[in-house]
Amino acid sequence: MAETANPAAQQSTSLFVIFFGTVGRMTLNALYPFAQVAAMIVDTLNWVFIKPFGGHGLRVRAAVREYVQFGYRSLPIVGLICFLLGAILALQTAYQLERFGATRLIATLVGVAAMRELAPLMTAILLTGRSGSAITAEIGTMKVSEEIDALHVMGINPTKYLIVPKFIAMVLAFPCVTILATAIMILGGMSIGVFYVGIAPNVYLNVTAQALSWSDFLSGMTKSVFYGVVVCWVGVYRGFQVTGGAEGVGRMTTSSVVTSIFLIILVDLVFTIMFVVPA
Amino acid sequence: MSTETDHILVVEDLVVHYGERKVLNGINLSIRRGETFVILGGSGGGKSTLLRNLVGLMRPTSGRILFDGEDFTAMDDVERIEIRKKMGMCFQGSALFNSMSLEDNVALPLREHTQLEPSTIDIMTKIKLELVGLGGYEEFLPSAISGGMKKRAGLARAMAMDPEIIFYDEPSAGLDPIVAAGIDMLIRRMQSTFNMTSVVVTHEMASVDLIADTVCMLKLGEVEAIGSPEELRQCDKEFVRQFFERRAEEDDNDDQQAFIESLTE
Amino acid sequence: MELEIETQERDGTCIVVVEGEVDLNTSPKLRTVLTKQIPRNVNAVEVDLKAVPYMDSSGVATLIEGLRAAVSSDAEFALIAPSSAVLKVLKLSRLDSVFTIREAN
Repeated sequence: MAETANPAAQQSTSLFVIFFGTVGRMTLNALYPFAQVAAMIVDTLNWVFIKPFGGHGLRVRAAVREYVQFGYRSLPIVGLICFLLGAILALQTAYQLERFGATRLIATLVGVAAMRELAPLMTAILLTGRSGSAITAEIGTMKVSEEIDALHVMGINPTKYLIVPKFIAMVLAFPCVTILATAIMILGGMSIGVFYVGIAPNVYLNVTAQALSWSDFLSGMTKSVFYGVVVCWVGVYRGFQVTGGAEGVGRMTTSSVVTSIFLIILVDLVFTIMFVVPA
Repeated sequence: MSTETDHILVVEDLVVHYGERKVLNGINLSIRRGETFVILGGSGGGKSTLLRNLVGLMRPTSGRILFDGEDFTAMDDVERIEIRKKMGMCFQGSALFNSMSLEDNVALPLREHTQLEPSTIDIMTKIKLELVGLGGYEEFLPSAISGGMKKRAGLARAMAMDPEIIFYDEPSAGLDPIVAAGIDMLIRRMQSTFNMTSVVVTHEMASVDLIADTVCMLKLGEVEAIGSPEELRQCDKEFVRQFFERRAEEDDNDDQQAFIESLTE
Repeated sequence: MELEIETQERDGTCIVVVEGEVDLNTSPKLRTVLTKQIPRNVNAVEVDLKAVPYMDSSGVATLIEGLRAAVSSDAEFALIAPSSAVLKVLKLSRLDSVFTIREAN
């Protein structure tokens, strides 16, 4: 009887419930991926740093194979693009600096930009397209074809078996490729500086060497390690999110690349603020 | 009580939800050691869900699954590994690792879980592949062989650790009758040689007579009937008779009105 | 279950008496005996399987390794009195014709 006596109160209660219910559900839905990612991160780190000392082996050979795939095999394309970017950067700055008669600063600008910013970033973006997408596609396909389930049933932990070798390979490959990318980018800038602007090679190298400091190097390396972590985890996370068939794999692979690039830029911003602002 | 030794797997009051939807509603069954237990049911009857729960790929909402008297559902992942070494599973799509040769596929659980010498594992792998009629295909990648061969390779992998119990998810689905009968023969032979318990999920009536010791029939998430194939043949429940006689669902003429309403809603 | 293995040498024949179940955990022990501890100068190796109630495929693989080791040192290799369960496993893998199988002496 009470329900029918006051329909207005009934209505307002249910609106109240619906409102907070919806807000609550939306918040939980929004937070859920973070919880999932956090659980995955903890699990991975556990298998990389703690479990191997408790008698659970690391799959070193698989990690090496992935490292060759992610790192070594990507060198041609990373090298080519970084060389061209170095050259473009030098051309752009030469055009501006000529007006001030300060063309020697090309070397400074290209060197610092490459080491602190461009080489790590370009490497990360290229490796996202090459390896991040490959990780998502591989794990997604394995999920669709029940291979992940098969691992579970065999009592083989997918984190240990699949993720950890990729994680180690990525975290090592990123800085290594970045070092080479930096060198090649400086070389690209030098080719313009020497053949187009007419700076002597040894002068160009000297100016570059003077301009660069250890802190530039460390800032670039730190960033690239974190880029590697981001690309690997996004790739894995998106891979495990795949549902449905081949079309699901395609959708998540795209999403993996987009998310990775976004997060790379975000990480870049955070680190730039941390490294540049205090100085 | 001798149930622990007689029954390798006991399911008590298993309830499973997919989101809000109840898929299994209080399943009770026990599987004797060494028997071939067939789970039969129509599409959407919950048989795949039951199987996924039995092997621990899903966690039930409530209820228990006892493996050798131990509560499998309450275990954490590390404890489950020990139980899983005693299980094998044959997936519907074979689920072979596509990046590995057949030999590596079969050898994987042995390499991960045992201290056996590589040469011993090598011989064991060859024996298993020979057993399922794939001798000489060791170096092939899964993509290079036919569906029936993949299925047999999946069986070889499931048997790699000489498990006490093997689960088969639709072992003969999508295979021609001859190959399907071959798989049934293989299941039977494994069972008689190693005294392996087999749990087979299927909707193929042809397999039931060939392999089953006990048949469990699921309908809409509940056990409709359970017993030997002969017992079920005598069963007078409508759904069971339909299944055994391969009759289609009869149209309910009474619901015409509701049907029209549901269309015009 | 523990696996007990005893070896005796008599008139150039090495007799390996196996007792217990040969499975994934115990077969490495049998392998060590069959491939490393058999003297090189014997003419024959006899593996006594009377007291082996159960053998899995790792046991069968181990016997094959033993056979290979024996053949490479020109010794005869024979299985003595395998139980019907073990014989079944050998038959399933079609290996009963590979081994020389003898009844108990």
